[in-house]
Amino acid sequence: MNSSKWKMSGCILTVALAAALPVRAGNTGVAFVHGTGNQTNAANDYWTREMIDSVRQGLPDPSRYVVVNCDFDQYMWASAAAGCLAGQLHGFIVANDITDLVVETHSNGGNVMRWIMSNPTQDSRFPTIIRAIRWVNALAPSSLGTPLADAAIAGNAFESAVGWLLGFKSDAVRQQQVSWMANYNATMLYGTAGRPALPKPFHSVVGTDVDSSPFDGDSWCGGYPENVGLEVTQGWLNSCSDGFLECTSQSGAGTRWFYDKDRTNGSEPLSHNQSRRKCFGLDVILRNDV
Amino acid sequence: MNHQLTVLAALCATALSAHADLLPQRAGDLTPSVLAPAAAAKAAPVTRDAVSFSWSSRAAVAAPQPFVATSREAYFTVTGAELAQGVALPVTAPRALVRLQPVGEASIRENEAIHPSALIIVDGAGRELAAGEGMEMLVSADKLAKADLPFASGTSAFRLSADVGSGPLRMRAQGLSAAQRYLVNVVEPDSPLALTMQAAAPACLQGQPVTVFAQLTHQGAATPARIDATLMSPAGRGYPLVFRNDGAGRMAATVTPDATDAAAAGLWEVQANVKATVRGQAALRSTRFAVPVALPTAKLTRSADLAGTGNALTVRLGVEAASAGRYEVRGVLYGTVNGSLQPLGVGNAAQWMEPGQASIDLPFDAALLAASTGPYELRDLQLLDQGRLAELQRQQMALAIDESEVAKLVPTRSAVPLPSSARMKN
Repeated sequence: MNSSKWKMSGCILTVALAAALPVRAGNTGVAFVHGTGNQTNAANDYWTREMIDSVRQGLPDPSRYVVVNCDFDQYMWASAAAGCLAGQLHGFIVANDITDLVVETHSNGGNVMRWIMSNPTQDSRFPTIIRAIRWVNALAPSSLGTPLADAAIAGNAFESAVGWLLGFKSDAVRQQQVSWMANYNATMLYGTAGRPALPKPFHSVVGTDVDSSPFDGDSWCGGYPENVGLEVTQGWLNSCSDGFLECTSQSGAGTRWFYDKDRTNGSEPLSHNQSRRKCFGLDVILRNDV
Repeated sequence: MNHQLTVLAALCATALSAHADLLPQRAGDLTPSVLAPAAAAKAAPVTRDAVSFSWSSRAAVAAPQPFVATSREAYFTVTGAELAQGVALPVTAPRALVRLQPVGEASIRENEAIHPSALIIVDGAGRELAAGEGMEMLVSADKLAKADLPFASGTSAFRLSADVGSGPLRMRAQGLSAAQRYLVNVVEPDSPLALTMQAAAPACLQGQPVTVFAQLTHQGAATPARIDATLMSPAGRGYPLVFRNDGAGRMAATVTPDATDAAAAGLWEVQANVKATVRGQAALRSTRFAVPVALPTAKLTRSADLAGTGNALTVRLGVEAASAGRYEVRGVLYGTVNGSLQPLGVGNAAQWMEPGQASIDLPFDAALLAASTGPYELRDLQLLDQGRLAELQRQQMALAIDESEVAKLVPTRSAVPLPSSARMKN
């Protein structure tokens, strides 16, 4: 480039000012972000109250927590999904002067959170949220999708000529098909292999197996009937899975924090339903992390 | 604070800009040619505020690759009457999983669910097993529903026992409504018969050719097959794919989606069913995978300006839009660290544009340039249509920036990297 191309321009003072301001001390908080589904009382219906209450005891002030309730049957970018999540996180951050936010996500909640962190320019609230985050603990995130979503959508495709118009399947399930997630990971999401890093750490907890024997008490944590169905679905997945997601998908974005058996009580595996519940000491691990 | 403002004002007074052009595109870059006007964006909510954000990233960036779909499964439908007579199970390996789903409204599905224990398997020797025998992991519809999985209501599943073998097998059921249709999904993770399909490019544009490759292999060797495939738009418009041998041992089909298809939420998909005869037995494979095909609503003009404001290196990119919308540019800034080009940071910037030409400023905070020197490069430059959830343009090697330019634009680069403020995980 030759010097004749140089010219003077106006100054963007707001950028300089933003960088010059010192970091302000504030509060630590924790947010719980559910997975696929339209939740209105995720504390009771999705996480269970005992899980929430145990984890938040690790906070300097245990009252500084929020349990998000949004419609994660929608695509991750929808106003009812990422928009709703941003609204609840932003409101919590502003109301409580949160500058150190730990986000606990489960399953597809990790994708919605990753959407916000990967698309900071979609919504003017997103940068504020990202700056407040310390890290995201993604419990069994469906970062690379799951063949079970493909199977579910394929079943529906036989219902009508154009495939998916009966509306049985949610957009969120459609989005979690393997090839769909591959596309979004390659274009609009960050943090997977060969892609730039996310602006804040994204640590995954990986469920590796399903126990579903009625004679094994461990199978009853999180509900025995739920775990029975998950064992057969392992047949759709490779040998390391939590019954809904392969370990490679759960490990597909950010950095892997730990495999379940490496840290759980009794080296028990966490099925996909157990990784959002007070099972095998998971709550204590998360409590000690905040 | 007053002192800071004084310093900043002095820095701003020396801000400069310089003109540059994007580097020539290379093979594999996504490039719109003719732009297409589009209806108002509905896929994603957009704001009218201009927003930019940059952050540190030391992760090396790889060029995107097309998704490769590999299928070892088959889908087909049968009626209750056909199940009463017995239907062939096209399995090619032991221990196949079988999923059964009544087709129809949810209330019909629940009433017509098949319990696997009521099914009769006829093995390869023609022996009829007792109901429920020759299977393992039998899961009824009610148990599968309790797992909170996204399968349709009424879906049940089982796995064929290893001792049943791989066929030719038949499956029979009594007492079903004769006209009721059932979807049968046979999944064979250990099968030597695999269908592999992929698009030629990771992303495509409407109005430009889309090529799809297909190959059926048995134990790694190519196997002749009849391929019925369609490229389906999100709105449900299908483009038949006609496969021919491409001369390189693969089957290939090319179709050009109209640039008139309305942009809709979701991705385009290839849907394919493949039939073959393997060792005298009929074999089936089905697959379905996403192919992003975007309506080209805007493109980069290839003109760029560099600007410095004292705390950011800004790349001002020209954009031409055929449709009003919120457009985003994003890219990765590489710089020279310890003598080699390394990724320094990511920049994203978006703003609303009316039809016509405008520019979008892509700033990289000066802190990202700490401990680096030129030459710098802007890589993996993308133009996105945020409201229509579309990738419109992508260039792996977009801009080369000399040290002399950055030295004038960002004179306050730190000689040492900023310490990370991130807490370490236990």
